Amino acid sequence: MIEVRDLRVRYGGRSVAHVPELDVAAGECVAVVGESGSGKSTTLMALLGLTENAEVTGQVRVCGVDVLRAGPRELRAIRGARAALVMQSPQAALSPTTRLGTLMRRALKLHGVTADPAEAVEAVMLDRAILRRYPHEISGGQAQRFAIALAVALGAEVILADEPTSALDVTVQAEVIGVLGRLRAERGLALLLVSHDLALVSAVADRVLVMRAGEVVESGPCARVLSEPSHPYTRELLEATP
Amino acid sequence: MTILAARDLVLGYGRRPVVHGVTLELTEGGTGLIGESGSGKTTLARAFLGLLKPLGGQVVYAGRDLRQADRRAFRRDVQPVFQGESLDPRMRIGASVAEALPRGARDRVGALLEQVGLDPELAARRPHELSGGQRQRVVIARALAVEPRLLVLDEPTSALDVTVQARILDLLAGLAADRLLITHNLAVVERLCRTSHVLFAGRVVESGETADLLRAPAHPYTKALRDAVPTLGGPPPEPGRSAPAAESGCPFRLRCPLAVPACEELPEPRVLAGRPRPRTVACHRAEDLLGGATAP
Repeated sequence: MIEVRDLRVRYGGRSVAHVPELDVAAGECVAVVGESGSGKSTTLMALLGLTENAEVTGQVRVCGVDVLRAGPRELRAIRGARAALVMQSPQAALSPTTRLGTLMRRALKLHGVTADPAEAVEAVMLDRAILRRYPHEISGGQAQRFAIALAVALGAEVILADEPTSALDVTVQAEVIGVLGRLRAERGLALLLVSHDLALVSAVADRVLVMRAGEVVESGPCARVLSEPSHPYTRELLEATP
Repeated sequence: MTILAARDLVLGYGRRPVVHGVTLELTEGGTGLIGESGSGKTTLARAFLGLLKPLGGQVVYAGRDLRQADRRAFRRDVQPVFQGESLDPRMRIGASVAEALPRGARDRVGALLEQVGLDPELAARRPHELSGGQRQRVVIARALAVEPRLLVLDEPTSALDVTVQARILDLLAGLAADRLLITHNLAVVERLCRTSHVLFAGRVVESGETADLLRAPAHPYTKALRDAVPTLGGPPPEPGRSAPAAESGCPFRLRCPLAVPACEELPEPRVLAGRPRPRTVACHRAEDLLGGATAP
């Protein structure tokens, strides 16, 4: 679903993210962890060709599309449809004057997809009554699940999630993580998770990349990297994790 | 004597109460208020800082109702620590800290910055030239300027990276001032507070020693909170049931896996018998939960 080789993102000649290798297969969850400024979010944006004013080199294939060489039409075909982006605060991206049901129907029409909004929200454990609500009438956890429901209704095969639960209460975080886990198991959804929370990553990801100052310092199966870290920075992160 | 306490405290905005009759005492060794969004923990903290008038009951400061207390002494004794983003972006760090110092003691800026682990030369910088962790230290330095007895901290590290958070927690744990900590982060409470109170829908549902409380929760909500926190190498977090707080009876009953018809009656807080450490809980099923009862 995602194949990255020697990806480098530069702003004004300065390298801000360099990822030698990153693969995410269907049904798999790969996490990119690191602190502020490590380049993890830049990497995620580069995978969808969303890094404006940046010089991006290397190989990036998402859902079979060569992202760095694709034209706008090809990119539109995967962005928001086959490859969906889930951000920290989805409420900010939902039009405040539009009911959620209308919002979802518009998005489906725009992408030429036929799907039942009620079924879509029920797949993420939301009541179908939510489709009559406005964005400000729902909680952060509901908004996050709605964003996932929208992605799934549009036929997403890959979800790229940037800190999807860091603004949520722990009990609500557990719900969202549960929903993503079920979609992976039932629909073979691939998940690329960007997070600073090592404990969360250890509970959900199969593999992990640890980034620091724009470079991947360690990568491998989650269980191995987090139990026997080989890089001093990974050890430092683990020791600081409460 | 405890420095601050709440007695049957009812708090709200307009006439709508969001904190319903809370009674608790701040104790030595740090006190934690734990709960999720909407639990009333920040509202309670505002009342403890004298920033919100109670709709009922009272905040007790040094044995007297806060409304009749010596406000100057209160301002000196009880200091808030907000998130680092609360610094005035136009002011240099030195001026920001000096502003908090009493007149005649403004030469202590360097010493205060050193106390929170910052290079005194940073005094010449402005907030945007500092990292998030450094800004949080400046905010702590400002609070320490009047040598308070109590710091009221509302999510002091939630915007920081984990390695930075760890260093700020070390700093706070080493200070002479005691702490009232408002957070949803159980690990932070464990590190900084000997005693904790768990809030749900504006009521204290469980109180006790933090370590004991998290090891053997007697309220299903405390257990749900604990089980929802992912741990390194642990299983995926437990989602639990999602439902709003009940309008009558036990507020947690619609989410509670142990709810029984008796829960339609609001449980009064009671001291649990036979515990090695004192524990207060407002739940009809506390003994069953401690005895290992699970959802039917």
